[in-house]
Amino acid sequence: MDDLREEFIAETRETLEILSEQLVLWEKTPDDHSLVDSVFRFVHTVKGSCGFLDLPRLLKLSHAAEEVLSAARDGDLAPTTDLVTAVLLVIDRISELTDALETGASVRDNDAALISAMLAFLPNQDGVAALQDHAVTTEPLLLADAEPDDSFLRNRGRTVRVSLSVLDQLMSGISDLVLSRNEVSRQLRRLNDASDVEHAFGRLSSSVAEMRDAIGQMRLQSIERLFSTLPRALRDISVELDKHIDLTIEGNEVEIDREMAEAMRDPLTHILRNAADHGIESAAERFASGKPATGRIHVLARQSGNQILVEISDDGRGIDVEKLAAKAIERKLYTSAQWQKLSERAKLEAIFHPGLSTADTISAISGRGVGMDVVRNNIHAIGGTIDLDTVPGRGLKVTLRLPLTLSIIAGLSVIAGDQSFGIPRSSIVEILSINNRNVVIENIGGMPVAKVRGQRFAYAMLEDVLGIDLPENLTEVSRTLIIIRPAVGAVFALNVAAVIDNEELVVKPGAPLVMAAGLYAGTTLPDNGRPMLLLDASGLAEALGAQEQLFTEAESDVVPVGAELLQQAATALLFESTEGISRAIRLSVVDRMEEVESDQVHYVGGRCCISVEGQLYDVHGLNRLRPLEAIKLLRISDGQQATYLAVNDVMDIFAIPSEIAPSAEPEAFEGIVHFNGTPVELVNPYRFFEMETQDGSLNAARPVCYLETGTDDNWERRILQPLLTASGYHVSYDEADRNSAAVILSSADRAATVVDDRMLVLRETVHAVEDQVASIYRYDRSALMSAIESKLAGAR
Amino acid sequence: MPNLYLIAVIAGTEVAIRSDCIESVVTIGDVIEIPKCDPMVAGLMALRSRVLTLIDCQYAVSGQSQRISPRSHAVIVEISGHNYAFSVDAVRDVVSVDDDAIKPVTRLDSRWSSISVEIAEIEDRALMVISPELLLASRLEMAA
Repeated sequence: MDDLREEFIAETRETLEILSEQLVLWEKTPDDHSLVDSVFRFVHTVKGSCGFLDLPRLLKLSHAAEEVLSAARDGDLAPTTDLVTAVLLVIDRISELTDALETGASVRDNDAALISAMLAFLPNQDGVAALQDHAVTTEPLLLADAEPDDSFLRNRGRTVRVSLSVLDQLMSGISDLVLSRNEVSRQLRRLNDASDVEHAFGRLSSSVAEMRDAIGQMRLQSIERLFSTLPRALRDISVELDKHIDLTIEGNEVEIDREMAEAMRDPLTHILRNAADHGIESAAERFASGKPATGRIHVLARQSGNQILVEISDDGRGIDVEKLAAKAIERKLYTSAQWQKLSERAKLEAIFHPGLSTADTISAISGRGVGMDVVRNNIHAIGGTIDLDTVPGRGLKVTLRLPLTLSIIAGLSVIAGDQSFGIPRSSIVEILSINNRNVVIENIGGMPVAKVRGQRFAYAMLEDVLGIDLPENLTEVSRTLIIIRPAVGAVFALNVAAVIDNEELVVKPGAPLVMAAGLYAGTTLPDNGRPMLLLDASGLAEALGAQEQLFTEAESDVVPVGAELLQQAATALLFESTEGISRAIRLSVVDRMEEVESDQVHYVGGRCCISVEGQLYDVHGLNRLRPLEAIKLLRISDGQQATYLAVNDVMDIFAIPSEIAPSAEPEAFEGIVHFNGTPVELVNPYRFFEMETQDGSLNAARPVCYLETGTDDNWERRILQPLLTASGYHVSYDEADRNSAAVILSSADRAATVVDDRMLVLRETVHAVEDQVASIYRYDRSALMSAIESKLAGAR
Repeated sequence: MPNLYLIAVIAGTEVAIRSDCIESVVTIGDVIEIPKCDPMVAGLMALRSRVLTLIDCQYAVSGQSQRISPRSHAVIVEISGHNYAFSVDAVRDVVSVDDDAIKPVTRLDSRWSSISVEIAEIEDRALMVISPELLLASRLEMAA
């Protein structure tokens, strides 16, 4: 509702400016009907929205203005200066009220005077009485009344409408900025002593990141805005068709590019119409086939990697392929011989052919055959794809896959032949060497299958999938296996020549002809200036034939990266610590690397913690949080407990030489090893666990705060509890916890005396009141937190 | 009303392309091939910070892939939000053609007919007017 209101305000304000100008023009050229038409249309729109948004004052004003303008449009009224002035005054009042809607200011209500002044011009006064239901005040009608108060301007949350092309420019500008920042960071890493520059660079980086987020935000809106129009659209259709249809919508929170949302509006409505008209059968027919009389349409949105999936499924009759065949052959699109040869999918896709529809009769809603081809073109135009999935008699599912336009994703480059391809890192489960002992390539029924630690995955060489020549020295080179989890389809294994570089890729949708290949998610331009194709994990899965049902997979199958290497010679991971020093850690304790946004890491109880799947873990190596920056974390595990180590970057993996020189700080470093002739410290993982609590999580160790409340505990529950929970305390209202609580919080009016030295008393006034109990003002956050902390210290 | 037309050579034939749809004419640099893609797409190329899809115009009319050398020219056109480069054998001239001199096409070879619907009379010659948009649309339709 707020969104609608904001939109109404922005639109009304914009049109008002043009309107005043047109009214003035109309006064000068009274014969120009297009002017009065457009003025009338605007007022009419405002009236409609006001009624919908329940804004009675605006409704009355616009209704009166509409009345007068309608008379003028019909030629019953000539636009005299007085008339235009009266209308302008009403328009000004509308504008004032619109502003007031936003600021919450009040506007003096002498609307009735304005209205009657305007209505006085009407030749036929019949309808006037009805409009003047207010007692007409005799206030003089002065222009000054209508002038907006300047103070409104200052506290108005001002907005500016900006064209999308400017936003696009900004976005591609910031994308280029990110790319050159990456390049600078690479160059910086090569310099030995650049601490001054690095400091400045850090600042630059964070402001770039900040700007990027802000610009991204400008373009994003929740898909709810798009979906919110669907129930209404469906209602109209079902009334017209006399069908009962239930619409369920899921995934309203998915964020989508504004422009994308606009571009999707028509296709989505059209698919919905098709589903209602062709898909859902009449009640009698549904009854005969044993379905509930009420049809169902389900609309779902979800984000998966760099794609947004929108599914529209109905439980109607599905697409009748036979009927489609008959139509296609009748229209000479295919001969029957050709049709026989088509794949099931290609047959279904004939529905996208211009002028083809399976509908027997043309209804007012769809069936004119100008639908699905337009839908597909629209989806293609924004770099998306459309897929159909039909079960005759049971329903149709239309899946739209849309890219996040101009999105920046974390990606890896993989090499196939002599070409590199990007792949979104979010879809990669694991990377391992093909020579690894845990990897076995089997051949089952003529299809190659990769068996990794007992799990089987569909398997292929990337070169084979793409039809690129394989290098001749195939057996000599060590190739890499990447395990990929696509948005659609089963997990599969892809054999690539190499995996290089880990970078942020600015992904743009590919041209329709490129997307038609079904293997690509878009294009990108990395730092080297050579365009790169981004592989689409789902498309690859399909090309490999990795269907959902082919392989059973265990649920908890997040396989540890690097674990495969530990059976061989001991290896270590070389990383750059957050202090900027190269260090190594035994790979056997590293589960995997994760990259998180800094806002996922919290500073609590004197240390940095990260919340992963509801569990809190310690983060080592982070002394301060840098806002808005991605943090690379190594997940370190001793087999039972896990903890995280923040690093600047991961550099290499190497075999630990047999000679390890002793370290002066054995508790911190296991020893010194040589990597490429440079000594590096080998981190002692023991220290990460020695301070851990038994169950490895901080949850149990959270100090309990018991809140003593009366019947009215609104403030505690709404305000205090979130503060305490966010700061790492466990909050309880249960009397039973009183004894075990580390701190007891009570309000000043309840606690007459302090009986317990764990008790803290909060008061509602800023100034200390004369009372027998010392208390703290409840909004003095720092005093409150430090008091709790000192109580905790006392309790221990 | 006169409009400017670019005279270019595609598959050895001189054609005219309306200049108001053309953003620029560039020499083709590095081309990145796109495996498993429609043969009419010659690959991707970079132009400043943009990635362009290079369309092999010769393939579109003759079915023979053009040998694209680093000195070949391409015509840059934006179509429904995507940037394309249309490869041409050569670029000859830019001429002003009056609307009266544009005639609907009468009879064309089947390959040309799908990408051209008009003829431009320039001096005493008649050149086909190529619409890049039509060229793409006809291909997409075929692919569908």
